[in-house]
Amino acid sequence: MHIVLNGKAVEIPQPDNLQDFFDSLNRNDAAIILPKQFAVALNAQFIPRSQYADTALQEGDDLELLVPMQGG
Amino acid sequence: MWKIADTEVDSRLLIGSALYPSPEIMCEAIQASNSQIVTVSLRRQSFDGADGEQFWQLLKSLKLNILPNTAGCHSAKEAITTAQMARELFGTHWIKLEVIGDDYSLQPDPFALLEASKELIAQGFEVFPYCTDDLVLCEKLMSAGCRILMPWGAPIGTGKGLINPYALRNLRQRLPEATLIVDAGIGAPSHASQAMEMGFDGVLLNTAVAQANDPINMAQAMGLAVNAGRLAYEAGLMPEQDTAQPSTPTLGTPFWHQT
Repeated sequence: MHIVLNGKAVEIPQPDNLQDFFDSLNRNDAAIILPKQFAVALNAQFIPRSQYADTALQEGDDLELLVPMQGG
Repeated sequence: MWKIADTEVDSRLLIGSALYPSPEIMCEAIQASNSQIVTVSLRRQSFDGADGEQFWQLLKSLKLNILPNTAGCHSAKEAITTAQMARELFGTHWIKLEVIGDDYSLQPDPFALLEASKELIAQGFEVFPYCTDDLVLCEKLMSAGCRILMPWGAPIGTGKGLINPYALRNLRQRLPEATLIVDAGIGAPSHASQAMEMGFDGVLLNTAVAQANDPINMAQAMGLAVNAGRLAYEAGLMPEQDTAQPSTPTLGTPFWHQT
């Protein structure tokens, strides 16, 4: 399936849910390195960590992973 | 000791974590400033391993209060989503709410700011809104539940100081209950002192320290300037007057001064 991950189109095996997708990134030697700490928005909606296992990924979904960064 | 958002801190200076020559200099500068509230942001993970982890671990080691911002947001919806993500990522309900309305001046969008403030307060956030010095906007933000207001001194990163002292002084006089913090535009320690002498409760700055030739010494200077300005406000400035008044007593002036 295709999703947009932080603005880039990527092809991934269909995961059962968001948690499954993140677990697959941790398992594989993929080019995608999962950060230690991040927060998630799916199609511009915040997804709390507690809901990863209950959130399905659909074809064409827009997934944003944000990490801590310097700010003023 | 100063209480802000139910938290006691020693310094009235809030400091940013961006634009420093290195993470190490950032840490040393923040410590030199004595500030206990540091602003941070959220950005996309780059997926090449350079995920800001070193920066975040260093900052966390300082054990300060973290104030995440919603920099770069242009709508209430974007800002609300970013604030929700920040709450989970940084483990704080504090949010420096920025909703930009004009890309040239980075002027806040007052309408979107108010809309986002209402929603975030309903969701339990402590909103620190980055706003203009418009009195009516500030009153509406307070009515929406904001206890803290952060009007700009000048546009972000300009270092111009307080470009409208009349409006800022007016805010202080008209909103005595608000915690007022000048945010953005500070370029020199004298600007920070000026805001504090007016009775502002605090100052938030970043670029003036991070882009100084010596950020660590400038951070210390800013911390001292904020303290000096606050002390002067509490001491009470003398009234300004148009005519000269001799400070040396005139009684007993020697005869050769008499005509």
